Amino acid sequence: MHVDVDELRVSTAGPESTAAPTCFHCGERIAAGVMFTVRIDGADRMMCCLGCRAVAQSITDSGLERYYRLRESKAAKPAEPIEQAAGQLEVFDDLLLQSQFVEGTAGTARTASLILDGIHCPACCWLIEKRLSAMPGMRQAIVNFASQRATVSWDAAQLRLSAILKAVARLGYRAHPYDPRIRSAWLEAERKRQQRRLGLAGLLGMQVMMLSLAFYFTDWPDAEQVYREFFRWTALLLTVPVVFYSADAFFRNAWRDLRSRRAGMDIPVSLGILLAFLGSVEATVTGRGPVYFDSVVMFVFILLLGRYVEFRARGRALSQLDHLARVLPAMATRLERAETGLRERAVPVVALCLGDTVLVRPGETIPADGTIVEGQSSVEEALLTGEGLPRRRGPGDPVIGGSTNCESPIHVRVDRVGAETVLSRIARLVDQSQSQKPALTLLADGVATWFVYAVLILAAGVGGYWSQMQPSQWLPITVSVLVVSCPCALALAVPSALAGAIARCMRGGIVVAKANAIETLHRVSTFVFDKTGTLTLGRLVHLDTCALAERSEEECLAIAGALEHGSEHPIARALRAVTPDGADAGSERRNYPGEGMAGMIDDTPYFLGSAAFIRRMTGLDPLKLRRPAAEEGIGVTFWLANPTRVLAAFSLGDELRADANALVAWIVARGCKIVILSGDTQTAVDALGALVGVQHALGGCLPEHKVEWLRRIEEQGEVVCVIGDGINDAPVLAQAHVSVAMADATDMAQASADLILPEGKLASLRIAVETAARAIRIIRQNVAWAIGYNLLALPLAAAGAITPWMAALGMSLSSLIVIINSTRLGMGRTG
Amino acid sequence: METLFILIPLSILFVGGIAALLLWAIRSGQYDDMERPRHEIFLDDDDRAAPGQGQDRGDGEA
Repeated sequence: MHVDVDELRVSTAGPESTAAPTCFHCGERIAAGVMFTVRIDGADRMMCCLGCRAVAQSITDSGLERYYRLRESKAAKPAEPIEQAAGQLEVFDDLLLQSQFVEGTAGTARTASLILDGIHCPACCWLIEKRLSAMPGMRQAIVNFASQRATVSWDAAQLRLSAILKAVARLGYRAHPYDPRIRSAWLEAERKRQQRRLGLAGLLGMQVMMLSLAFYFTDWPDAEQVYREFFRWTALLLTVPVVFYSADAFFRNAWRDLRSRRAGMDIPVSLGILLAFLGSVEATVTGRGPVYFDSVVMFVFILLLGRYVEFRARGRALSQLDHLARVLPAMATRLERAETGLRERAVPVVALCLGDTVLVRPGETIPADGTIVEGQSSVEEALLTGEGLPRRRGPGDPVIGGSTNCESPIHVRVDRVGAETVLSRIARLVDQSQSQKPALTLLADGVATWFVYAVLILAAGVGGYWSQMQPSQWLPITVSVLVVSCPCALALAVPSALAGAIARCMRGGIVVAKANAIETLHRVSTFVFDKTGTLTLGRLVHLDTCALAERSEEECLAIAGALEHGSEHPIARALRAVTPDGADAGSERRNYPGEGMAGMIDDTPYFLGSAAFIRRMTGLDPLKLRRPAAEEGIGVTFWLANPTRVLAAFSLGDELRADANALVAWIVARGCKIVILSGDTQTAVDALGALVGVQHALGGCLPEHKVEWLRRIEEQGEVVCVIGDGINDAPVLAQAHVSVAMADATDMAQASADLILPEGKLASLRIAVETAARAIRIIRQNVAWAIGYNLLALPLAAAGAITPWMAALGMSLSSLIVIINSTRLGMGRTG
Repeated sequence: METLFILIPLSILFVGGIAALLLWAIRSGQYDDMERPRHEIFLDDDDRAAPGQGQDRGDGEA
């Protein structure tokens, strides 16, 4: 069997490869030689890796296998080994840390809000809620699908927070406690305030309209003037809360605009409301002239509805940002000198000082920039540098805060903390790029200001004219002009379409974090991919095993798994993910960082590692047996040998995402340029470019270079969409016109991204672009309609042909048409 | 017609009651999640009868 990693990838990434079995849990392709099953609903289901199996097992063990029948889409593949992820959660039991985000830390009845990652259908909420509710000591667990949050209340005497978080992790989701005080509390309060205003305006508005019907169709005989009076006073009573409570926000905004000498939309709006209301009050008190309470309430209601739609669209975007405000387990293990030698002590990262020595265990994140003083290991810096494979590091070598220690414990002397670290430097780069981001907004504020001035001048002119010509008519006509010209439909045109587009994107598996990305997305002319984790999965996976001697492929995998037992090296993780667990760990295992592993199994020594390592340990040359095809690309080949024979070759590679080829083909068909911009070596980038059919591939780029390159092509007039995931990508993402971050991207990358692909499906990007194009079409229709309506109705109102109630009704209808037009976006199938 | 003097104040009282109910509903979070409840009917068939219990351990599954 001739195995070539690249060939293998091409063959599997083709469209709809029918033969390959897919994972029942996550839907990914199952590699050859992998046999994991879980019994679900009376049948053995195939799983692609240990992670999926563990999650599926945990779901069935809790008796919640109905989840699989309820769900609307496949689950996300668990990002990291469940138990490892779960192990890190114990820091959350720290009372000091809990006091930041848990209510009731003084007693045992505690409540916390959790942000959940990985939820994509209501069945996920059901699953989590069921699982948590069944835990002893859980008082209440509520999962909100709209906001992707859970509120849990538990009894600390029976249940620990880490146990709750672990239970969620075992179901394949990630839960992060967060401090709700930061932003969402404000959002919550504002949403409820708006709902109260809107609800009250609607409810009382209906009553006022009902009473007003009597005015529309009845000529009051003189004998019944008393009822007319009564109806007026009742309508006045019902309108008062609408004007003074519901419309209060417009007055405040108008007052604020006036004080800061700006012309906002709220000024003519407030003027219209107040004029109509005060005129009607006067008419009611004096018993002469018409009343316009109906117009007032309808006007306020429609305006509030528009504001609410806009707020929902914006609020959804804002609350996405809360995913970044999560409380990080910012704890480090400091080594302190004590009488009995070194003592370990958990301290917050912010308390670390220069010269402190910290212990970093395998799998942990290095808390600050420093130098290794003790221990040999390899360190994964992929998120910072884009380099795919871990680098070997020993005493005296520098390490960067934020990178991950992979193999064995190391002691690190802290050299830089806080603002001086590499991480902070990148964060500053993000801020800079964001502030210099080219603004491409559809409706500039300037237009609105101009419009408001025009309306105010027109209304004053009309009012002045009619007060001269026909003094009894000046009030209703001026009110009509103000109401008719109210740019409600115009104000709704953009937010309602954006809200529809955002909802549609969400169903298509893409989170729109910044709504104005929609305005830009359809104009993108260049797509830039960062390689690690965007076109590829960004982690090493086992691609193939090739047995070279008497042992079968399964046996070789089992031996390799035993040798790599307990190691956190990405290669070990990739191998272990496809080997059955429960196998005995090899004895006398020895780790040669950056080279390989050696160990005894059943009294036979085995060696697992690079070709050079095998040659050094056994004298055998594996390269004679097989051409190392993968070595040139992003993949690696690892060899398993005993002292006399080379047993197997394992191909590991960063696997191409299933839909990468399809997406690239679509972009090319659209006539857009496509570029790979990566921190990886040029050869690796070239290999990937050839694989997906991208000619323009740049390797060896530092974050600064990427930003520079991007700025240059943006100056040439290209509209650029960048798809990235690492911390090193964050500045580039911030610089781009539109930026997309992958689900497993680092927090910082997500923070600077406009769109997030939570399910990691590249195909969603296509949905987003197509939705954006439709949204823009609909926005144009809406704006054309709204302006057309205003232009038509304004002269009629100024001529006195429209009474205020007709103006309010026309304005409502016009707004309604805009909203209905926008809802077309949310309808229909999503890819 | 005189009955209007009774009926309209009465209806205002009703409206007041409804408004209070609405404000209560908003405050108690009835409108917090507008997306999930419409799926709820598919998710739970029997055990919603006892809300907050969540004790089923899958014995009834087939």
